[in-house]
Amino acid sequence: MNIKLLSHFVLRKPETMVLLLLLLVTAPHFEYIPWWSTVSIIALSIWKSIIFSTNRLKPNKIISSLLTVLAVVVIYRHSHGFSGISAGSHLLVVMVFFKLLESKTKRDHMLLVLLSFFIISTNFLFSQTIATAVYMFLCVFITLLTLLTINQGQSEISLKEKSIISVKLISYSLPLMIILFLFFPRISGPLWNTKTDEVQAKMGLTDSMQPGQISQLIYSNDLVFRASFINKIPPQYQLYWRAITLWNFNGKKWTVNKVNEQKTTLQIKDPGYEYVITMEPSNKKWLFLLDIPYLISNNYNLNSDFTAQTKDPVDSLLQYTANSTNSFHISSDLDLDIEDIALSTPRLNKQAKQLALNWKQQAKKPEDIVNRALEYFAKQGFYYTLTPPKLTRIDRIDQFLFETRQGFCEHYASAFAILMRDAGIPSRVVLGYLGGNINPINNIISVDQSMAHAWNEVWIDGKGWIRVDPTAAIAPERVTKDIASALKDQKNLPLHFRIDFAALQKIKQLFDAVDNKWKQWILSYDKNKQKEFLHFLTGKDFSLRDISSLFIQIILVTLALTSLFYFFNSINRKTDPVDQAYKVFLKKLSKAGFSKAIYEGPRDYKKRLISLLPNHKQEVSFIIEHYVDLKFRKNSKSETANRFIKAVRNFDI
Amino acid sequence: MPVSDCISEISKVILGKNTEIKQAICCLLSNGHLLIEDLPGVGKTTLALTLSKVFGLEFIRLQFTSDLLPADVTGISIFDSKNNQFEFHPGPIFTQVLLADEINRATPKTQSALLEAMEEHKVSVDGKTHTLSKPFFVIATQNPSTQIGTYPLPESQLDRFLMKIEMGYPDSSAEKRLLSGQDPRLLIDQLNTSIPVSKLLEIQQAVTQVHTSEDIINYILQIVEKSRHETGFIHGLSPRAGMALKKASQSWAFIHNRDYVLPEDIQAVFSSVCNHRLQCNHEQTDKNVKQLTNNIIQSIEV
Repeated sequence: MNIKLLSHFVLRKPETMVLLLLLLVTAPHFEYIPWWSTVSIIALSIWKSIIFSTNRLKPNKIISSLLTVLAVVVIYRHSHGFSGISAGSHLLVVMVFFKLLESKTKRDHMLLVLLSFFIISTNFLFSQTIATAVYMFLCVFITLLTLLTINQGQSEISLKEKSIISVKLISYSLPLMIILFLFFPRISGPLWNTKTDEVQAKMGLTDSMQPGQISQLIYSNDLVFRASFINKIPPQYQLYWRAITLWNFNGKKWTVNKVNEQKTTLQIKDPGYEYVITMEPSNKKWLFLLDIPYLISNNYNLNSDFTAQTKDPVDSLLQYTANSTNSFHISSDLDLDIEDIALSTPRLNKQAKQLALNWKQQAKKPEDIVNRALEYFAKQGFYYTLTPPKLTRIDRIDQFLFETRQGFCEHYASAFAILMRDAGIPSRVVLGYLGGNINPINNIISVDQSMAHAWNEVWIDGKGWIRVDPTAAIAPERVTKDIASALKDQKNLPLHFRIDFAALQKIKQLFDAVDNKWKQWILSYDKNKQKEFLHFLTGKDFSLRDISSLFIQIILVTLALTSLFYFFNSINRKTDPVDQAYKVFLKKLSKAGFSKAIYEGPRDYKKRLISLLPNHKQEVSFIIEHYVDLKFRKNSKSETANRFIKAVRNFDI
Repeated sequence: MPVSDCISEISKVILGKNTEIKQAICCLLSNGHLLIEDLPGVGKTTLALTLSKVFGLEFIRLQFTSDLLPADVTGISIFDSKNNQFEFHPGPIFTQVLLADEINRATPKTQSALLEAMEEHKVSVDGKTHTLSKPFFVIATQNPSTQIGTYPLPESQLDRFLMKIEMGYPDSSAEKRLLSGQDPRLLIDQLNTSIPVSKLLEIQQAVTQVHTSEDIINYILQIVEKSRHETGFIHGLSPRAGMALKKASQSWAFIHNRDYVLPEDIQAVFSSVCNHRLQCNHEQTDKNVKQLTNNIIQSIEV
């Protein structure tokens, strides 16, 4: 569309401007509200534009009330009430368009603009990416433009001037925004805890495993967490990020074990790696730790199976520091109860049992059995694939081991654990992620959903739990490189694995680095970081109460300072709008090459201008005579000032 | 508007000197005095005569010479033997328009007698105070002080004149008209009185009411400040000069049918009001006062 046309028809009238604004600020919500709501919003917008352009089809009170009630009922039924973020914002977004439909007066438009500000802030409840932030700044800008359009009255301000004013307003509010961000007390209460919504359900690991589950995750490249290593980065094949251990198998599904294990004590031989994890919201409780963790920051306790959990589901960005090593020694023995669990099988897979017992008889020590099993996977025609045939029989392990022989990591981990248990070696399945993309720009490793992995751990007396990855036996590339090179049937590979243009990769890495900084500095600024920051500033520790009172003090001081500033400003500096407008007028003329000599009085200037610009005689004398009236006459009226300012604004040469 | 009538009346006699006529009227309306510095024969006396005729004012011409005594100006008390007491005989100063011709030929003593009377609007003789008539307007003329036998007026005295103007030669077309027309002195008798005295006093009052906005006051302040800090002058403008500038600009605005002062008014009267109050210092011999005052005006933003 022609931009001039757009600015002429849309950006000048308050009605059209408000319509445009509402569509812009509610657009991000279209992703979360049902399609029929989006359709109704668009229909209402079209209706409104018809009313505006033809002045017909105005809804009468009854019809609009009926429609509103209908919409409220439908939304209520859809979201089972109005509590929760998604239902609330859904209602708000739809109702605002009903308000638009009946809006007539300036007051209505002002209300809609204020609601727009509110809707802008609700967008952050759903997404906090950089893109959202940038878009919201744009929305604030448009909102201010609309505000100016509504309030310009008779004197039309040019779009350029409005934009300048809006940008100024935004930049004035930036310092306040930063202060609020830094010092606003982070209250962890019901106010902030409104995030548990169905909208927030995330893809990711669950606390159980059955065939097909992990291979589904391969199709997602959503970020799971980022790790930044403090001293050295471990090699790719050591990047086993553990999350949960699974113990119980019912023939179909692996689940966690509720029984608490005894504490195992690690004797660290080498301090290993120290790293900071910035975890995306997962709505799950477990944390991600590099194998084998021995120390973790903050209030998190390391479980005996070397996993850690938070008290509440992680619903916002979470940061923690941890240490891991692969050089350690376990001195304790395995608890008998635990051993029982680690050896129990559903007793359904007879062939597997037979095979395992066979290996056991021939082996001298448990390690031999492990190696036999790995050798078996490597040599007996097993095939690593994303799309294995479905396992349907009750003895699924047997079906997999002796019939289909095609599977993904969960198949191998599952089968391996059962084989080991049948051979009398305690074993468990570990769920987590394998690998990570190192961003060469900031050396930060990012791990996404497609790196989900399952592997095993077996208990060897005297050595403790040893990691065994049966997938490595079939597809070693999965461990040493990445999943794309491990899969032989590249056809079915998700698109994001196939793109490997160097330039695209570079852009992706750059974006990733920026995104990481955004998360590190902005999104992960929570209660603890605020405390750290205040400690850094003052050298003292602050409680939430201290922070709140400090915050109030800062606000009061800021208010006092700004009001003082404006007070003195109004005394000291000439902020007379008439002077300013005259300056604008002079600037316009001097741009056209008719600048005023500094000593030239207004009347002299007028005379000269009229002789130079006979075409503009009327405007020039109008403006200058008004200026003279305002500046030198005894009792000039404020209307004169308004007319003068407007005339200067419209003056064009 | 009667004032513009006056101007057109006067310009029937004084040809091609519109600005000077306005400046003279400006002085009269703002209750100031006028000093005309020029060579003989350029129409100084005629201007004074015409002015008093048009405004219907009583006119006396006093030729200043080196032997003129103060009493010759102010008047003298003479013993009246009939009444056995002194009686005051008013001097030529008791008039409405006094043309003090060639004021710089008189001795300083006589000059100061006149100038004091101008300032105070009264004369004290033998302990008795006599008020001068109203309006009282002095037009002094002065030969360029380089001429022999003159006592240049001291700066303190010059300050008493609201304006100092130069008549200058008329341009050739005006001069042609002058030569081909009647004797101006005869023309004066044919002129009408446009403004009676009572009206003139009203106008003088009205002039003081001409509005000077804050911006104008600031402008005057800036000018005065600048003259004090600008190098090139021995002294800056005095507060009296500032007040004179305001008065003259009010009157100038009034002549131009306005009841408010514009920066242009100040600029118009500035050099005639201020040039005689300023003196170049010795470093500035190559420039004259005119150039320096022009610089002041041109460097201040309006």
